[in-house]
Amino acid sequence: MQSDYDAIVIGAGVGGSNVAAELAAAGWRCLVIEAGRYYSRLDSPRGELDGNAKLFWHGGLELNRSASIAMLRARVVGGGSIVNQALLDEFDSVALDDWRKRTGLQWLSETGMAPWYTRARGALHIQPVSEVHANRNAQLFRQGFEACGYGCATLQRGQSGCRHEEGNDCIECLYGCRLDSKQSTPLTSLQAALKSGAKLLTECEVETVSEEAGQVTVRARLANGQPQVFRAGQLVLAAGTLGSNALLMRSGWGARLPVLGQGYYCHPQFMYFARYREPVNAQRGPFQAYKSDEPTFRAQGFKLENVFSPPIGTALLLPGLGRDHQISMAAMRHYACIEVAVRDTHPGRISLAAGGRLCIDKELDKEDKRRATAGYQAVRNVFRATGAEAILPGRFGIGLHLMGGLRFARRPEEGCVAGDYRLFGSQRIHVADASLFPSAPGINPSLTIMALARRLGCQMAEAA
Amino acid sequence: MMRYEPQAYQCCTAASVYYSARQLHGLNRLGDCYCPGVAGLPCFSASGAALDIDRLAHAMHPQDRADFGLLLDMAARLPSPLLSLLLRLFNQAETFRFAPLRLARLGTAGVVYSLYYGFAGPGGAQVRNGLGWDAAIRTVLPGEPPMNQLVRDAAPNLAPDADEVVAVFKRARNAHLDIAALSLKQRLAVLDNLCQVIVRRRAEIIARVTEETGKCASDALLGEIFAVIDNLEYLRRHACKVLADRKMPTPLAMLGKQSRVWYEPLGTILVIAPWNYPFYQAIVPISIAFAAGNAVVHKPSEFTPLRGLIESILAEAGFAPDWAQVVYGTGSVGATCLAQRPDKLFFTGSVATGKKVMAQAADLLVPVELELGGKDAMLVFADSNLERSVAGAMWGAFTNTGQSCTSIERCYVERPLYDRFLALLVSQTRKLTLGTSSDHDIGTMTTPTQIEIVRAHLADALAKGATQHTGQDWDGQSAAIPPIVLSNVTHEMCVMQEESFGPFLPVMPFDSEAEAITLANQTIYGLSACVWSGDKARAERVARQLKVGNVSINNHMITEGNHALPFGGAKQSGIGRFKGEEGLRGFCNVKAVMVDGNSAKIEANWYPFTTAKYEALDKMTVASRIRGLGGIIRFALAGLPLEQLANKLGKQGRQR
Repeated sequence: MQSDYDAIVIGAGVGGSNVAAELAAAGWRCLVIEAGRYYSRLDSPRGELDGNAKLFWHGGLELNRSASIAMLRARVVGGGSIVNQALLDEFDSVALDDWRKRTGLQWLSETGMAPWYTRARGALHIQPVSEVHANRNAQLFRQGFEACGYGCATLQRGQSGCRHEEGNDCIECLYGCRLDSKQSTPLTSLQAALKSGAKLLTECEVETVSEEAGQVTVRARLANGQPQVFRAGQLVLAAGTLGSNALLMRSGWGARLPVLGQGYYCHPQFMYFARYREPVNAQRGPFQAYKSDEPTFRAQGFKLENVFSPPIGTALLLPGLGRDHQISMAAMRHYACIEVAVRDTHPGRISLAAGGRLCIDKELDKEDKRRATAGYQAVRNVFRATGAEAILPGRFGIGLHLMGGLRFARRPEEGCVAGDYRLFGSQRIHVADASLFPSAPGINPSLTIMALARRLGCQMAEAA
Repeated sequence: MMRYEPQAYQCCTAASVYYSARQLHGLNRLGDCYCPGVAGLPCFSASGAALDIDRLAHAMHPQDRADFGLLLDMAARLPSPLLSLLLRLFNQAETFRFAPLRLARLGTAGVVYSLYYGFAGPGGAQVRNGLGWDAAIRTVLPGEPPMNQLVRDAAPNLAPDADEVVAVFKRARNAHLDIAALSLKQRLAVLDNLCQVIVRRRAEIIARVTEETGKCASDALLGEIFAVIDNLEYLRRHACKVLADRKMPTPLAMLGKQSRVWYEPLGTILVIAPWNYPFYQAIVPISIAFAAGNAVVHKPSEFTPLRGLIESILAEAGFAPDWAQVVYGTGSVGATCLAQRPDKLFFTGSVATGKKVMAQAADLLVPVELELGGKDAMLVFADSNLERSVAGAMWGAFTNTGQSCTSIERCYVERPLYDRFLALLVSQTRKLTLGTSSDHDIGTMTTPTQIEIVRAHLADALAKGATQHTGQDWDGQSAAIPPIVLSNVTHEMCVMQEESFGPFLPVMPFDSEAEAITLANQTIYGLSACVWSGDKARAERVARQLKVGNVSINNHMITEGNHALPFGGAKQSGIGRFKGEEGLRGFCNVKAVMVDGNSAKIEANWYPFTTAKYEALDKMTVASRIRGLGGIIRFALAGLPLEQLANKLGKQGRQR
């Protein structure tokens, strides 16, 4: 069975949706293949248990080899944009200059990226998180920052109105926003792509991709387990960092791309809870409101955000066992929480274990640990300044921003993808997700993935 | 504090398709170590969270699922002090920096905390309250998001092309030879396996069906599992008798010969199934057709394909892949299948599609059986038991969210009972709950088209003066349509004439038996009906005058529930009968057989014909109207000379 398309995009997440929007708008016959299901606000999972089970690969947690960092990898139409907090920031010169230096790509600069950021922003609503409705968790963060003399800023979020005055708590939207406020791709770029005629196949797992003269072949498996083969003129890999890397390894590209899977970063995040005498009720209102805006933190390689986690996540993070742990959980409403996000410098590596399972080698080296510790000290200062009774460090790190492995580079010895987004040695296979990132930027990657994907989409459409 | 009692968890046996009762016992022991219970929070086992393990297990990597099963086995067996020691060791995982230990801690704590703090099981609400977890989304946006339709329309066409369909039928025709080589007993043994597989995998089947149809779990259990098992049980008990060669009477004129009917397979049966009972409408026709010795090609509705499920269930039961094949796609794929000239088409669907299908089949001379729509009437006489008839009306109308061809679509109540009936019906209907869990009465609608029909019928009825008693809060878009009771309805309204296939119950009074019959028959449909009365004779009298294929007295839809009875419609509700003896034989080539002896005898009706023979035949014709002993003598007197003459003429040939 053959299906003929001008382009196949693997992954309906942030990267894939934005490429598809550009290609479909340019009249390309485009097929987007997604392993996960489509959920609308009517049927998105209610609650953390079903959210983890239905929206993530293998039920929520994928661990590094030493089981010290849990990676969160979405598997749903909309990808990360369904389960993230839609914090949309442009990269600064610190991040882009490093990329330019590593890759030699001159357009990786604030001015070079500006039109693409504009194009990406143009497809969605961005609002500052409402300070009026900021909950006590956010207020403590801000008070602590003021007391310590640290700079902080309101978060910019892809949302169209969360109606907090009607009693909506955004922590519920971690499993898909029931208010259609969070600007996930099914509401924005993917919707535009479908309106322009793109096809979308859900619950279909791609097993291998290959390139022949004149076309690419995608071998996939449908939800019923039946194999299905698709052929197209061009291929865009946007299965997310772990997905795209694993797919190329399964397809035998390891032999042609010597550093495939290397240079993996994940912005390890460490959550710290603090107990207060009065209830904090961090579950209410906007999930997050503030981030650090402090040049000294940026220079030291970390940032802080006020954050929280729903009960299952909190239970896994809190120390203790049995009764002690349950007593800690019963006090959940008295906790505030701050996360330290480390701009990691020590690259990890993605590989396939026997049996085809992903294997992630990712550790913090001395420098990264120093960054995490510096972050923790700042957190401690903030909590202490606001009268916290106790500080409870989270038991493990979390990788929310999975990046690298198919880095932009000058040469195949340094990375996997050339400046035109094509794999070295390939005419037809492009990459459009965070696996392109040459290093960890230390800034939320979502908006930059959109901008890079938009740029690729336009470039492909123009070349045709 | 409540402690864990293993015997209280015997019910766990059926709780998981992945883990045994013993492993769930292990999970409870493990869970009680992590969550032993404190003031305001129950212990893990008391929360019943383990019962929801499959919500998590189905998403786990198969390897992790298996590994976790081993851990649970261990947890079930370890003495308590050792188990708690082990968990204390796990808890030190961070200090030891030993990956397997960390994995064990994250794996076990991950599952226990996910279930317990994910508020699973019957005690979930207590845990939520214990934490004071009050996060909520309180705004409810109206209508269906436009993206839903875009996603449906964007699905690429993966339908098989004509070449593939040709190959499917080629395989089916070959498979038919293999099936025909099996004895009926062997085929029934396979169906017995099928029954066991379905019982074992029922939770999975119900989950798939509720997911694709939106029906509530109880509707799925009763309509898709229980009814299928019942059908397989009927086949197991009765198929041998129904399909056995039959000896038939032989007329006196054929004395000495033997008459038989043989029930042989037709060959390949094409089943085109609807979306309202996707599992039932796959397995029941497949199993009946297979029992009769046929290969089957099944085309499910594109709305509820249950992709892969039917194949997997059949394969596990021991069906070879080509005995029953599933072809996915829309109506055009169905047409391509029909073009392959199956030996019979079994179609279930709407009248409109039924007509198209029959037109195509007519061209090919493929025999069809059509199970089409209905507008079933319920006639309630004043002497009916009020509570029973109201309860029956609600279930009959709202079961499967009204998306059943035999759901009650019109209710006529004799005037003296009318007001009380309506009042009780309205108050009872308001108590029904909407949702898909096992605690809900009515599920959601399956297709957007059907939602639109319900909306249009409601709008039409209200515009023409109907009174709506329940379900006023429905937005006209959501698939969760509350049950809607209407009164002041007339036969000018769509809701009384066209099939609504939704949770509607229009109620209308009548004054006499004759009027009730006229009203009930005033429709193009004739699928089923029900008559409710304390007067059995009257109920039967009325039932006999209803032009329908099925009728129940003081109940509804039970003819369909009994698999020994034939099912089918009169008028435009269909052609042919399904299930029971007629159904089994409907998938057969009913072969008439006569056996004569290898004698020297020349038959009287063979050549040559002569005037003398003509006269003898003429006498015989008159005598063959045999009545009583005199008749037999007259017949013998006419027959014997004729036989002699025929023998003589036959052996000598015509004299020239």
